[in-house]
Amino acid sequence: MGSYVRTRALTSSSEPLDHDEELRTSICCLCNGGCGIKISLDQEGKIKAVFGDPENPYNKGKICSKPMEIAQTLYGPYRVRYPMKKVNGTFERISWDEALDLIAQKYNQYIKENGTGSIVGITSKIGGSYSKLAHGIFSELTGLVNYGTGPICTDSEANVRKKLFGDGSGTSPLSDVVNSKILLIVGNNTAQTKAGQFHWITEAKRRGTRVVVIDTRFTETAQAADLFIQIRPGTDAALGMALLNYVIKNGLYDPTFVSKHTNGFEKLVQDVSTFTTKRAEEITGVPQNVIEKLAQDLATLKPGMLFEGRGIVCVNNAGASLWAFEGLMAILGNIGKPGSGIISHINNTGGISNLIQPNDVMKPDRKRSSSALYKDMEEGDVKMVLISGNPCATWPDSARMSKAIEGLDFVVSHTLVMDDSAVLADIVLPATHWLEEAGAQPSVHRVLQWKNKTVEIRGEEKSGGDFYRLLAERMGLNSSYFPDSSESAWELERKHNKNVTGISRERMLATPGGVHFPCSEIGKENVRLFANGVFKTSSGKVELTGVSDAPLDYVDTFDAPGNNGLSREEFPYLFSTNKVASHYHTECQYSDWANEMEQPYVEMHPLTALEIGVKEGDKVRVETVAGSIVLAAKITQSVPRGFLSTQPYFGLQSPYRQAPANTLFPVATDPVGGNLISKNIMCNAKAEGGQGS
Amino acid sequence: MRYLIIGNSAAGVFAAETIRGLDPDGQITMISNEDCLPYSRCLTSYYLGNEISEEMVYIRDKAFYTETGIDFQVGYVVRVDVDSKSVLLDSGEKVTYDKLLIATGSSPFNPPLEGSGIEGIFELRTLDDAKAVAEFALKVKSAVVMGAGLVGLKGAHGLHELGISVTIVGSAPQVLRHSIDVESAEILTRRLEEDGYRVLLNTKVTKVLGEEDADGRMSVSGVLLNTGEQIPCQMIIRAVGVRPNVKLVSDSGVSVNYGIIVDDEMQTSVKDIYAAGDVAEASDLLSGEKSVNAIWPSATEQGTVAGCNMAGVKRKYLGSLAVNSAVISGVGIISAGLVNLPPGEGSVLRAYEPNKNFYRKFMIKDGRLVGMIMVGDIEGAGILSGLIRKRAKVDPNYLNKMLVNPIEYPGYLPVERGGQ
Amino acid sequence: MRVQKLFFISKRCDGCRACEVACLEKHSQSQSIFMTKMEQPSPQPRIKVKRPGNQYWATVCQHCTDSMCVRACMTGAMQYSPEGEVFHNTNKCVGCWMCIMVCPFGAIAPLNEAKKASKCDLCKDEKIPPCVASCSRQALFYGTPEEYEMKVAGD
Repeated sequence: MGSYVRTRALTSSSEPLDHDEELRTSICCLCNGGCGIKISLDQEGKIKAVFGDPENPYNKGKICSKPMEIAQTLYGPYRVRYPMKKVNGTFERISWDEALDLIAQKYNQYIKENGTGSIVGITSKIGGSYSKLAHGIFSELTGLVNYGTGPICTDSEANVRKKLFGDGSGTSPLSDVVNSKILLIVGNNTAQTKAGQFHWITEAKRRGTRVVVIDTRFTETAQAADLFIQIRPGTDAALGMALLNYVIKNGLYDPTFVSKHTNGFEKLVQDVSTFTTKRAEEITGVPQNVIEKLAQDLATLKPGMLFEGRGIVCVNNAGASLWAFEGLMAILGNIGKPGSGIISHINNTGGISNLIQPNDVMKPDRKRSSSALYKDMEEGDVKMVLISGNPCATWPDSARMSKAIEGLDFVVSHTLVMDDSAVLADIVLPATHWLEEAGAQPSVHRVLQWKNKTVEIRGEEKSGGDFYRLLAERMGLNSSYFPDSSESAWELERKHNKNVTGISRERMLATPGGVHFPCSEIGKENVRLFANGVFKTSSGKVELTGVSDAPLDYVDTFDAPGNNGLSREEFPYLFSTNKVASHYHTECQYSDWANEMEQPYVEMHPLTALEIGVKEGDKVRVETVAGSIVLAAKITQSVPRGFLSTQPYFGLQSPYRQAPANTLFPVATDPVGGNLISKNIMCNAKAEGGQGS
Repeated sequence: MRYLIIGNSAAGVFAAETIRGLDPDGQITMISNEDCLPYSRCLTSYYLGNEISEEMVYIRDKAFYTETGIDFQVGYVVRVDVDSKSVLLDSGEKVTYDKLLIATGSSPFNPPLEGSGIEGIFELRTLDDAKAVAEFALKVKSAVVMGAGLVGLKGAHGLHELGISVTIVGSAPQVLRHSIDVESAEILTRRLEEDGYRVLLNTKVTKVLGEEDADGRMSVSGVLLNTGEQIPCQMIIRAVGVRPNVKLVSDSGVSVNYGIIVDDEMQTSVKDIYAAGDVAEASDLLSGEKSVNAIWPSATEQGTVAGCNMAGVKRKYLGSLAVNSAVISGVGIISAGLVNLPPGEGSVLRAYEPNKNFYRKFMIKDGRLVGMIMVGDIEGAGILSGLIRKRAKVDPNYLNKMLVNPIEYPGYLPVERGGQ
Repeated sequence: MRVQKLFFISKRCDGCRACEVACLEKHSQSQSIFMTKMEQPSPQPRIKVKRPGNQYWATVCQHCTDSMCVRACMTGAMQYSPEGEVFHNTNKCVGCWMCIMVCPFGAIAPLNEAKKASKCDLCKDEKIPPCVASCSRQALFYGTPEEYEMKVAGD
């Protein structure tokens, strides 16, 4: 036994070799960290190695393992190089023309016979700014409803913030942290997930920012913090509400900000009034004195920042936690000022407007929640799906998702690799990698950076931008709306999205680290949102209780969606997932290096292992109401007793040949924020194969 | 077999439990003049200070007598009749025995004091005493505690916890004269004064001052000291000392010196009559001489040994070791064995950090640890008291190291067994 | 009567102190090793590994048959269980440190903030005590004296 924490640095500042003469500059598009990278190419023009770009002011030469793995993903055996059609269960190579004709014909047929709602997009990995714009235009022309990363990643966070502040994006750049006096990191192992940018936090700490990490797991981020608060899984809302109550009761909030810039304070006071620190201690396991000291620190150390992660966003009671913590930042007046605000990897540049003529717009004829999508696919209401990404590994109840997709009439997968979703498709289309296309990339620093195309495609890969334009052409839609290159796409975007109007390609390339947005014209860059105290809600104020009609309330994770009604005897433990740098997205797992760095395992406390009767490395069957998978036990005190956690994803088609961890999550939604849950599901665990003491 | 035990405190209870463990069928009778479950006299001051509830004063729960099958009787034993193997109660009742244990403990000893007949003067020994003090304390602002021994200091603490301003008057030059040395006493005195107590040493109360209240009753209004100073107060606790309760055996043939003299099986000079606890004068572990060692651990050990022998299982008492533990104004203090070496005998190791309230003193004679005092960090004290108890030869290097470091079990360090 | 208790096999111990960590977490309010330092009152491990000479020594309650601490306890907090283990009722404890004064193994620690003594309770609610489970070198053994003799017979 012993604590399992990766003690070595997660980031490296590697140097290219002397003979790496040609180094191309790009921006990593994997985690929205926006790290500058340098690519060395071999004689064939293939990527040889990926280094951090020392010239980029944000990552300063540091990168993590994710971009390093790219060469193997790009040129490995799983990459899809040409269009294919499934014939009698096996894929046969076809031409793009044939593929597009087939898709266009099916598409028009379903619209005509079944309505626009019979076709959906599940496009979590849609590509860069070019593809996003083209996809947006295509959706407006066809009434396509798309399910992106929102349901599985960002919905709860973005929705809560939108209702509080009027904007779902993070309010402040990560780099602002060096101006803050205290940084609260909640459910976010950013040392793993934004490894290349984590040096901002360590630098801030060096300059005196108090870094507080609240997490269920003792993470690499926790290890680097001034204070680590280990909290029982799923109880963050109770902590947030107790902090609110303590801050309010003791007059530690910013009365000027509250009276000038917020609505609903009295109702919020009411909502949290019973949440004493004592009660929070009983729920969260965090000692009362620690909670009170944290509240006092937050009140005295100003400005302060908040950085939430999937640890509180993808859980079944996420909405209340996010509401409480972000409301706390608001009443402390920690919004809009340098060194204050909320950091998030959600940094939307906003959408286009007035591009499509009203008579060309096709409205979706039905709307579905993300959870209803499963049912509608199963019951035949959905006929066709356009996939860019790997929902069969990334969406909850992965087995159900796979079965639902398999049962559809027509499935198109526009994909990098032959993953668990692509194998179910009728048509598989080769997609370009982000290094194979140009585009503007927003980052956690609230900047836009331009990356040129770095490497040439080696097969028939097309970007989403090209694919949707060509498909629209074949479908007989007005294809003149579409840009035909990344560059022209950006010019179009600038014209129709005033948030980026002031940001030209040339400016992005000429400005080290890129340009802050929103920026309607040169000189009007916004480093952080709401600096003028005007919020994007209809009232112009922070709507402290506008998140829901119901009061802010804590719901026990065992009584929340997904777990509600399950027997504690049958499912005594909680199962969760946590990202590691090398496995960040499913595409990262298609690399031998990723494989070498992290093999599938399930972390558990030594006493949990003792209960189950397993030793380090023994096979454990983890079972939930949705399904079961077998993983190797990793015994560590860094997780609390009764809590099991593994990396998300995997996939039967991935090099791991392992059922996705998301198989274990039933389809359930955070009632306040709308995220599908992928953490904290009740489970049982048993030694597989009858081992054990 | 009829066992009769007089007294239901430490020695009596441990003896009774031991007897019951060895003789499941014997008839055990316990007689006490206090009609309650066994309780700890050491806790009465905690009860007084509202630190614990009355329930917690009891050392055994309600089922104790019934579960152990002990016949409990309330009564005051006036006399032991050796010839008829019986005891006479003040009610006139006679109770016979085959084996008798006298565990009557001790009572406060109060020398004559001028003006002591008036209201507001208390002792602190029994639970009833504590209740009386607690009730009276409600109307008291300041109090004088006569005696700076353990009972006096703990009583003072109880009153202090109630918000009463307390003056401790002790005739000796230091507090806890019998349990610790001058240096450690200085630490405690300083801590007491820091906490708001007034501590007067080398001082005696010569007269109690009284005044008449509205109802014409005389009650305490202050004390006059031998220094001439008058200290106003509304309450006095007398805690200058105790005497063994030996009256019941006077002229019975049972040998009494200061307490009842017992052999190493805790038997008195009369067969089948045993004595244990504060009333017994047993041999001292270090000196071998007979003495009364009126502390809880000795009482329970003597009770256990007496119980064994009464039930027919021979067991020797190895002798009393003077050990004391107290927490005074938040500072823990533990002593064992000698607290001062006679001049010219053996050697003394000492470590003293006054500002940390840290003090340690080890006394070594003939290569053996014979006494120790620890103030402040008391963890591991039992290891040292165990070495004293074993009369083991101890490596001076080990003791030197332990003087300032956490006490570690010497385990396999060179320790040579001494004594018997 | 079957007294099961902890036995320490000194020559197997390499002083990793995992037992202390396991014990500390188990006896913390928060059940989190990371919160123990911040808890008030702060918990203490009830087993402590020391190196007084050239071997490690684990200080832990021996559950003596004739216990000094049971006799010295003036509150009745220290008592024998029906099986003969020494059980400490912290509700009754007032922190007089009499048990610490007499324990020859130094196996009872004072919790100064809580004013309670603290010693090994054998974690009866677990299959085996967490300290034993944490010991990768099997230097700790939980069982009856007879089982212990069998265990070390081959050593």
